Amino acid sequence: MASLSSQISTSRGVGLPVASPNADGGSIDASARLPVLLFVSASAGWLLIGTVFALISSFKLHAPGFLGDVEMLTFGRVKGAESAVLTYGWGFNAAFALVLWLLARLSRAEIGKPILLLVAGLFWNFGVLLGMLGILAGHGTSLEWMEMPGYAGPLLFGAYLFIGTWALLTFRAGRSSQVYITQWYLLAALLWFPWIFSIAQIMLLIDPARGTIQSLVHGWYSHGLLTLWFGPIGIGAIYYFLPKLLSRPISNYYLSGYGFWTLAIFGGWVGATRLIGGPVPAWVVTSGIAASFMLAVPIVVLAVNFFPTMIGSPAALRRDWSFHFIAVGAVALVGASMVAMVLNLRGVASVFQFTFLQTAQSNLTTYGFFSMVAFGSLYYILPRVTGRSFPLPSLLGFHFWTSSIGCGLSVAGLALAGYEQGIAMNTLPGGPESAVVPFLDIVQRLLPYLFTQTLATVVLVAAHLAFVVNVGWLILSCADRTSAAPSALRTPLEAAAR
Amino acid sequence: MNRSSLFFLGVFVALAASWTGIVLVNQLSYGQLTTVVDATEGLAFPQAIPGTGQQGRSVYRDLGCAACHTQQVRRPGFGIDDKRGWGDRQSVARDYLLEPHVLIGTHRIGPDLRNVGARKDGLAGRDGREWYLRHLYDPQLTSPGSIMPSYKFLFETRKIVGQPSPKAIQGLLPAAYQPVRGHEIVPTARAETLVSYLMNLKDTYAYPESRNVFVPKASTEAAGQTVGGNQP
Repeated sequence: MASLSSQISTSRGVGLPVASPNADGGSIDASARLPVLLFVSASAGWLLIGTVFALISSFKLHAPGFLGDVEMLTFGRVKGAESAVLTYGWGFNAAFALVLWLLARLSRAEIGKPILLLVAGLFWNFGVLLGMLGILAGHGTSLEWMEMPGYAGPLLFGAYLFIGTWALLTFRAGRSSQVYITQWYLLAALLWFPWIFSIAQIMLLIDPARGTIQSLVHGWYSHGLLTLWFGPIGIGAIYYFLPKLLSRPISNYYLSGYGFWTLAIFGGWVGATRLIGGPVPAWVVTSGIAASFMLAVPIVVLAVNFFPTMIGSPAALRRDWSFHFIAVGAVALVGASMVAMVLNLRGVASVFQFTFLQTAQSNLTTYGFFSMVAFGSLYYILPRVTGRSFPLPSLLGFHFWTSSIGCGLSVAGLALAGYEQGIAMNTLPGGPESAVVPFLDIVQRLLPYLFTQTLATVVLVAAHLAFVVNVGWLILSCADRTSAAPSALRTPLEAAAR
Repeated sequence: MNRSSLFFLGVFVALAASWTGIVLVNQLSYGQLTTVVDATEGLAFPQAIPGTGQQGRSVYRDLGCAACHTQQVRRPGFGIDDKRGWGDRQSVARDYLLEPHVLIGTHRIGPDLRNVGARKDGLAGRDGREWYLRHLYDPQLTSPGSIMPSYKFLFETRKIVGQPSPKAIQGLLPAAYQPVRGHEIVPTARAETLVSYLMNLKDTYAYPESRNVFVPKASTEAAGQTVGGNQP
């Protein structure tokens, strides 16, 4: 604690330039090694477990008898466990690793007492494990994206407070005079998440609010998880890695601040769009739809920041696999946001609400955007914090292609399924006087698309195995010889060339 | 005030706005919603469902039924929920007033269940429970081609000791499902409470706020009939 507090007391705040003779990339990376490796190992493990759950749940959708007699693995529970593990296991651990490393690097601060972060990280992951087992045992909440039982909440919240505070202190201790846009996004996310999480835990699980106030809180939280937590972290990472990998500044950088503030102002309101046509006051829904449309501003800003930066770069630099992942993530972010804007219009929602089209949009955001950005970033970060290159560099390309194809197949299949489902379920295709399409006919029409989901998930299992093998091997090899100093860092591109 | 405190203030205010608008204002306004006392019937609506139904709700929650089923009917003219027979009127906030955990759901992989109790009243068999029991035992019996999983684990196949149980359901099942001779299939307590919950899912009372609905011109006629037919 002593070294950290002395760092804080000697730091000069954000605006003052202080030369930093000793906090170079190497020592900062060394200080981040322990926590980053813990969070990455945990995220990789959860990713694999979550993908297995995804495979089971996807298979069950077209073969409902599969593992049908095991109560623990009934569809509703597996689906809940899948969502919880992928969100709070894979997503959050990866996000923690990104936030800590990026903040340390950008603020030019070493992470003090990393061993304490290790303890907090273990608590977080114990919370996720408890939550997952709780869902399988039948203690789940049946609320999308907060499926874990109430008893996991305080554990996660406590662990988060510690991790979040540590990240903020690292920023505070920084010696950099510049505050880059990435830091804005990360700091905001660090402050927003505990707010939405604690409100959701209290008003939904600890002391549930009356009636459909719960639905509003749930919409606010579950959408906030995207617009106020995963979104800003992924966006922050793209802002950092694009210039880094392409050796050129972000195009139209002066606009980035507008993008940040408009996302901050409107992002929280969009949650109400989950209740279009629902049993809540119409004005709340309308304000959500308006906010969803206003998100066009940050999306345009991100597009004119990212795309010209990517397109104008030298072809040689674009061959890097980290760049591949992050470029796909940037495109998916802009695409998914525009799709969401359309889906949230009342007329469109009356047909496509509750269908697989919503699932497709959500997968494009959580996987196509956030997970891809996280993969690309981790492939950049890991060789630097370990001082080693990946043992199987050829798997990087394999991972990229399988992830992209798996995600693309899943999103395309779900989008087509959702389109057909929405038309058949919520309209009268034969004209206003015709009879409704029987529900079981709709189910039969969906079966081929649901089958493509299993196919897509098999491809993703291969992708994630490649990720886990490479990352696991790297981490184990560095546990073997801990004395190796982080030096002679190679970029993944150079590593891949060897 | 330096720039970093301004930044943190801005970040705080940004989220405070949506928190105030979506959570706080609604909690203070319609969070105080109360039941409606109907003088002619001498009852307050919505009515609490019986205790077994309350227990069944937690079975519904723990099995994750909400992953595929919504419990919210959209107004006539907004989608075709009314024409599908999922409910004559839209769900309103008051319907959910007495529910400890509101599970309105986000996916319709299966049909909406808000009024399943009213829907199956006619075809649920002698004691009103047969359809549910068969449906839960194996959805293929009642809905061929469905992708809903079977909930056989909510039933127990056991040896008949002494008198056969009056609750046994093998009489409702076709030949292929019959247990070994001298055995019977009995719903567990959880299955019974779940059935009780589902049977009680019906919003039949028309509240003042659920009567007047804006309906686009195209479907005014059809919707007008269904809403009108719902007056108490």
